[in-house]
Amino acid sequence: MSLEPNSILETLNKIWREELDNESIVLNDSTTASDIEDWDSITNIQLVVATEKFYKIRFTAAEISGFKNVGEMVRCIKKKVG
Amino acid sequence: MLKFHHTGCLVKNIDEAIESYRGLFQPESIGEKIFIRSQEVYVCFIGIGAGIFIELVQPASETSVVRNMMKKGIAYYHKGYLVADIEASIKMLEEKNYKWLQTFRSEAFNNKQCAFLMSPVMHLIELIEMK
Repeated sequence: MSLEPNSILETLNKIWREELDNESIVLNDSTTASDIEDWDSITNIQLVVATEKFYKIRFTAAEISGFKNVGEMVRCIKKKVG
Repeated sequence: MLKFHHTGCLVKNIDEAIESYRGLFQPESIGEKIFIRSQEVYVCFIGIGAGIFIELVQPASETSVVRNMMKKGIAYYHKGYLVADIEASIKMLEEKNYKWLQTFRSEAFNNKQCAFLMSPVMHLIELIEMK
């Protein structure tokens, strides 16, 4: 499993597409919920749970509420796994 | 400990859904239609057994958080449990890797505290504080 930021972003992109059932999603570091249709508070937690499962990690409540964009989540994953 | 109370079911038209239950159970089993401001939904509890309910839920606005689930065709979407102490229950569930989403006061339960959490297998649950 590659832990380069671009590789993590690519993995998240696959998770987002699957969970949101939208093949047109293209994430980048600055993507936020307001950029993606149907990314609401419930979906957000589903994305977090799916990401935790894939990387076998756990985010704290403070980390989850602190993510301002996808890039911050990528950096957090790298820190936990790398 | 958790005590099962209801399962939440999304409906397009709550009045129509209520009518579909009328005559199936005792008349007093059909509750009042209540607006839950924080969730932007109308709800109605239908008693289907001793202390067991179906909660009919209709989105009341385009911005209601349940609107997306309805678009995906999801009907039954959460289970509601009574708890004695909501903060202690949230803590216990977070230790089991449930993710807290929101705590709010619900007009459906005399403004008692309620909370939504997501289980590790993505089952949405609602806690309702009894005290």
